[in-house]
Amino acid sequence: MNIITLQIVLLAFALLMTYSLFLHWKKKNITNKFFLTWLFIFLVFIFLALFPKILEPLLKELFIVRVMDIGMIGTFMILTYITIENNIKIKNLEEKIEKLVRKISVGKIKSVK
Amino acid sequence: MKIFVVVPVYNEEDRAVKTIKEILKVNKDLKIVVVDDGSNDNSLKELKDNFIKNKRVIISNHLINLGKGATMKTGLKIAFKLGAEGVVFMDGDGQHNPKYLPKFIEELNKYPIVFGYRLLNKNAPFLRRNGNRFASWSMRTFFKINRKDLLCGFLGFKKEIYKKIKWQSTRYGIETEMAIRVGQNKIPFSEVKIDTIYIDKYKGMTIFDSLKILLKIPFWLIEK
Repeated sequence: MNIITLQIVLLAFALLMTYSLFLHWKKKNITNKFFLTWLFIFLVFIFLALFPKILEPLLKELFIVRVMDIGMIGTFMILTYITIENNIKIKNLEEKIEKLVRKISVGKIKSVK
Repeated sequence: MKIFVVVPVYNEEDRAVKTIKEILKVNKDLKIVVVDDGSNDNSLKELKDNFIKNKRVIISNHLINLGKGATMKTGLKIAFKLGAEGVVFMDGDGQHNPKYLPKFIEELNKYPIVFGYRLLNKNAPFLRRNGNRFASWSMRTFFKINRKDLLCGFLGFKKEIYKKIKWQSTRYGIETEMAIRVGQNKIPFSEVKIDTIYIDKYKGMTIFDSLKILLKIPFWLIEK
């Protein structure tokens, strides 16, 4: 796979994700802030996919050989951040569900039977 | 002291009713709080059909499955709401013989917390027997918590110490977490020998649950 093919694949992926994001925004599944944040991320992604050479000064600064490597490092950093955020949110949701279920369960019982 | 028995139940339509009937026979004054943890089978229906008119049995349920630790906490809150001064927990699958309840109650008059212990002989499945031995050994060696059977769910405590041993575990692991809280707070405890009854090889705690518990131990030790 040469660089042009890879660029087409990345571009297609980013456009598909942007369209999916747009549909969710139209259906009001996501807030404006969420939509704009991810739109910005995918626009940057598209820009970098089209003009990877723009990263070359940064590669030299970080002693990284290929653009792909910096892409992988960036991806891992973003995925780690998202995983931690998701983990925290799931834990909070679990706690809220537990409290709610317990409140209903205990609430059914009258003080003196 | 007003003691309530708390029985968490999950998918035990064949055994829960029998277990409750046996507990009722032991002591005529004892009240039982049964909490169905969102069972997929007819456990809740069976319990309601048999005990809805019995004033000694209080039945409640979780709308969804939350796990043993969460169910025990719900049962405890109901018991305290109804005026309990102490609680004894027993599993709903019949692996805890109610004949030991009077001994638990007697010990609760002397100690704030009482744990059951099983002699881990050949009646216990190999993995559970050795896993339990390893857990007890590591708690004794590394954390100076000397318990004969770390994973036994037959236990009781007084209301006054609940704040000190309040657990975070929603699933299995609650017994281990409780042991750590007891050790951290240096709460005096007593142990009562109970029968070793293993009913189902595949239900209850698995080796994977044990591994998850091991990973959680350091966090419980940090969170005082």
